[in-house]
Amino acid sequence: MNIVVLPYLLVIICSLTSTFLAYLIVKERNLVVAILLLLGQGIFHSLLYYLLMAPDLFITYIPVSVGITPLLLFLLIKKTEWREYD
Amino acid sequence: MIKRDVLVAFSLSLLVLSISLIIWLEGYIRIATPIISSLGESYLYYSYNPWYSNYTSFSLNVVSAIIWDYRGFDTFLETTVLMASIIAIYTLLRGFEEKVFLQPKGLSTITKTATKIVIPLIIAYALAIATHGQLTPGGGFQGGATLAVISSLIIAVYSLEFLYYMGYRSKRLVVIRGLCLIGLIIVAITPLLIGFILNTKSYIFQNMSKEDSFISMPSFLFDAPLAGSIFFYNVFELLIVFTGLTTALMLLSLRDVELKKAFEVREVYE
Amino acid sequence: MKRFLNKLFVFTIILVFFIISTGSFKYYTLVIGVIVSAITTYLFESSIVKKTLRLYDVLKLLYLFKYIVYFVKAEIHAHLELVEIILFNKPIKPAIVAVPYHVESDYGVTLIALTVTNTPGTIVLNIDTNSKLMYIHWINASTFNPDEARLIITSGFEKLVEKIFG
Repeated sequence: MNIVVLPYLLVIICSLTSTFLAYLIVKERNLVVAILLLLGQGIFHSLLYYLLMAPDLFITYIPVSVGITPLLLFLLIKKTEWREYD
Repeated sequence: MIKRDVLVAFSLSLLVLSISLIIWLEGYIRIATPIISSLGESYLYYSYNPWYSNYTSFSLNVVSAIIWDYRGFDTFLETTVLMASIIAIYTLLRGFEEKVFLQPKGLSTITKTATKIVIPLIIAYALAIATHGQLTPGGGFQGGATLAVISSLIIAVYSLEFLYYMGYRSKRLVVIRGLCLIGLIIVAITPLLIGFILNTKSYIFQNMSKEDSFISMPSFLFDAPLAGSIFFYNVFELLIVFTGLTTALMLLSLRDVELKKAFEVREVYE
Repeated sequence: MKRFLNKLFVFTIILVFFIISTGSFKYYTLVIGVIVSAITTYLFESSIVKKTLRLYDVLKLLYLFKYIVYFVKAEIHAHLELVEIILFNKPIKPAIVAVPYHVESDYGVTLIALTVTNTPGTIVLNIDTNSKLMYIHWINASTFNPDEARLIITSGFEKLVEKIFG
């Protein structure tokens, strides 16, 4: 296999997995699980930024998606409700 | 999460794959073209080019050169937008008061010890990103976001009480933020003031010397390109983003007792 | 200067990390790195290293090396046990056991807890610092007696940890 093709394959895998996760996040009723899935999606997105040659966005996205956003969302859940009703 | 959801999600991602394959095979877009637009080419050519000292900004990182030199005013306004969002949170929670209780509780000893080791390393990494913004990928915003992870970790692991114990108050942070914004403005108008004193032409947000004005910020420090004002902008931006995000985190994690007055105020207005 | 070795130790670690994360070895990086690590050392030195370091503490690195060797051995042993359970359907007896520990320092407790969690089959669920008990979930609990459980799970690590951090 040609080594040049490998990054593009990774791009395809990452973007498809993040689409997959996005649907699950929307459908998930337990909001804590939804946040954990969002964390996984954030990791795939930051990998995508790196593979598409945007290292500065990569550096920004890792702390924001792994460190700050989950804390804010967990705080929000703590003050409201942890599950979604019909 | 049931089986049907997983199947639907999988077919959704297959749909995305097929649409992108169609677009690619029909030739509507090209992936990673070798041709760069002439504007991009000129940025790449001039951002670090000591032989054309009238056009260059002495920044090896082209992104930094663009956001702080070629269109610095735009980035400055973006920074003030961040300030405005913090003020919006303040307005929403007006009337809150920060109360220092007894001892902070937090999570278990294991988590605390592990966090204790990580915190100084995060600080070193964030400052490395910010101060090398003109040399390697990164810059003020990236460094500030990384530094804000510390306050997020402290709130999650040691509790908000520990932040108060370390001397963080949201009002102090806002004051630091305002001072740093003023610092940004001072760096931006320094060439203008020097030009006014020396009675020559000069521009606001000027970095290196231009064709009709010889005023220039320092371009080298020791043996590495400093890129003049870009370095100062990055340092100020680091502090602004750090204090901004920390204020937001602190205000959103306030306890019920501290918010009691804020709710009362809201009832009066309603 | 008081606690000079402590400060030097923390300062060197942060400076080396700074240089590695920037990836350049110019005077510019060095000067800024020295300033940053001096400030960070000043702020965090007292909370990171509580006891005063002495020069012969360098010998403790040897014990750290011994600990790593012991840890790898324990890891392989635990993995083999778990493989046996998974492949040959060996009967299991999951239980939560209270295990006492006698290490004083925070780092020692953290290191033991993380090692026990890292070896498959045992997980530290909670630590009670007042009564000095670790609550460990054990997949194949051969005993419920706290002291016997301590002999099987943590005593080997504890001896070495006491020599490193004690």
